[in-house]
Amino acid sequence: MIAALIAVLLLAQTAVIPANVVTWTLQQPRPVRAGEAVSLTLTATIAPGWHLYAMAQPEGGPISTEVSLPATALATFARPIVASKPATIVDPNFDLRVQLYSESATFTLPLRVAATAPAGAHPFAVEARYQSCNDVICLPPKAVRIETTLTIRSR
Amino acid sequence: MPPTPCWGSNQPDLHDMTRACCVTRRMVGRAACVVLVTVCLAIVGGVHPALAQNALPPDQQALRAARLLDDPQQQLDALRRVAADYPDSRYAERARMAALDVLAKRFPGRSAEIRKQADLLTKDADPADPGMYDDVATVLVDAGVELAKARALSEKTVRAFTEKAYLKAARKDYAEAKQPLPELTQLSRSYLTTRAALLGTLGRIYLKLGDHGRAQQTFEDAERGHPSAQAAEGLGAIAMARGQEDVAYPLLLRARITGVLSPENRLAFESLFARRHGGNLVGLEPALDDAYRALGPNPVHPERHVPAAPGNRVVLLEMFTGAGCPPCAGADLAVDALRERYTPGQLVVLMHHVHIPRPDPMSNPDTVARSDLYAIPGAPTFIVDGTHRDTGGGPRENANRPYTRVSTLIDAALAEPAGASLAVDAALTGRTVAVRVRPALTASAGKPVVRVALVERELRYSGENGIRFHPMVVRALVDRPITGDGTVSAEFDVDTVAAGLASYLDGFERRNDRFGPVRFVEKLAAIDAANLGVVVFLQDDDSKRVLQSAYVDLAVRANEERK
Repeated sequence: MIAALIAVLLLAQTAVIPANVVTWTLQQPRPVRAGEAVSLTLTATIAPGWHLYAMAQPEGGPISTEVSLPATALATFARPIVASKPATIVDPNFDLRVQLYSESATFTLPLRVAATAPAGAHPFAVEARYQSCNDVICLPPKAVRIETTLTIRSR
Repeated sequence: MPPTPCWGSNQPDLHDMTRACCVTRRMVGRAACVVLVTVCLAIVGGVHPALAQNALPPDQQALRAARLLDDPQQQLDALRRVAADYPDSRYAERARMAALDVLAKRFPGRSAEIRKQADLLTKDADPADPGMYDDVATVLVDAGVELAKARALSEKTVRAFTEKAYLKAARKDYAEAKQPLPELTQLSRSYLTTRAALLGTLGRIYLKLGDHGRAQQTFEDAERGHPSAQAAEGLGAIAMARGQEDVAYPLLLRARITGVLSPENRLAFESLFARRHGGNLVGLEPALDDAYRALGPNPVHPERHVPAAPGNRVVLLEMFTGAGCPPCAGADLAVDALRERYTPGQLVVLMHHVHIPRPDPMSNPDTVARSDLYAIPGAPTFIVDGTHRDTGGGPRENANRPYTRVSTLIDAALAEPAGASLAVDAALTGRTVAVRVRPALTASAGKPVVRVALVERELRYSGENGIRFHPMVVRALVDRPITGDGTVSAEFDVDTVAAGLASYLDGFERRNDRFGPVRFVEKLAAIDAANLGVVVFLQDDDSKRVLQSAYVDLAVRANEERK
């Protein structure tokens, strides 16, 4: 019994890491014509007890989350990304006030489709790079590709 | 005292990095400042290689392009355009701060513009929330311009930053973040650390203004709340100016260990050290080691392991750690304590440095491959005898936690009989390490492989997590399948291994799969042949179970042979 209790206590202090600390989804946008503007919503769902660092950090803080478009994408950024409001707390890992998200975060990507984009349904991807530490373990920085379908209507 | 940039570069694209270092140095000292350069470069100058050809949002792209301009006036104009074109962007404030930095450092005579830029940055800031006021004051004092303005800002934020307001804001912030509120002691410590940083800035301003009396009072105030390298350096510089060398020496020694001394104070300290130690610097590193140990004793007090019955098992502990990994600090100290708890005949340790969460100059392709083999989830991760895994560390003061967990695993492993015996002969001749192993299996193994690691017994390096001593650092690791007569040989040419490490770190700076371009402050590629050891272990690659391990200290072996 005592051994079992000790085992439970020991386990409680060990980092438990979910398979996906952050799960990313990209909303499928409405069909658009070539040259038109379109907004995509990128959502990060964050495992309980973990957090995702925001896109801007104080100097000296953790690596910010970064979202970009592959060079081959059929669209480019038309304006800055609009991110949901992060919380600001002192991160004991950095002893700095950092900006982070718990539970979820959304990033609205204002895009403009290339004028030369051919009509049809095309695979469309964005890439996110992020890292996370909690108070007992640091995960490796990670880059993920999140895909959806972009439908270009004929003129 | 002269300006104390923690990174002596005026390259335009390094402005943010410099500031990052300065801010972090104030908060957590040299450890976080030194290697952070690599991360800062990754953040501000580099792009993840996978993203190198990717399109960034226009505000981020514009800021990055502005920083890359060589001409300071063009850079200033471009930074101002970023702030004007994207006023609501998260990058606008960074652009304004970078513009102040360019003005202060490159155009110090443009007083009115500098003051206007400082006002622009602080006009909506709350002095009780000290980031902006202190950051602006730091830029000014670093550049040695507009010191009256710097003093006014710094005094204002020091006055406004009270513990009561800090705790109230923290409670609100944590509730909004849906994060558990830390213990009050931790919050109070964080408050004192921050206050000491603010006082450190103010002390530096007074010092630069020539007001040694106020500077001393301010640094002493900072020291009472939270001893810091910045305050120690300031007090040491004041004592030196007064000719009080006995007072200056311990202060500058502490600052040297825990922070980055300005080049002038570093020289002053070394001259002082030499005067007190026979006119040379021969004993400097050991003195720094002693000072480090005195500052941060290991909180774990291990008891020697006494086995219930004599056994033949030598357990292998592989730890994946990172000098830039804050929670690895407690885990590293736990390993130090474990090495005291067990004899080398009971426990062999391999420290695999990995680039988590930041670049680590003690990493190499073999340690990275090893982390891939075990598919470690992060750092720190402990692997005992190939199969028992434990993850998680914490700050230094929590080192007892991983120590307790991992010693439980090791105690259990030691109670099991070894699955093999290893007769190891290893010797260093010139710059070549030759290893011969005769393994004998006493348990079944589907795919037995002998592995030989070349380790350095101890490296000194101050990473972001504040750990100075790094034991049993893996420099190379090779596999040797058991064939023929069962004897396994491995040879390491030390210079070839060192050249390989240098080449790897050079290449990592240029291109890597995680951070984009980085710059290591120290590359730690050189290998001291007198510091070498060899770890041999027999592993079943089917189950990953390690059946037996051995360690040969090559310096001890060489001494034995001489006798």
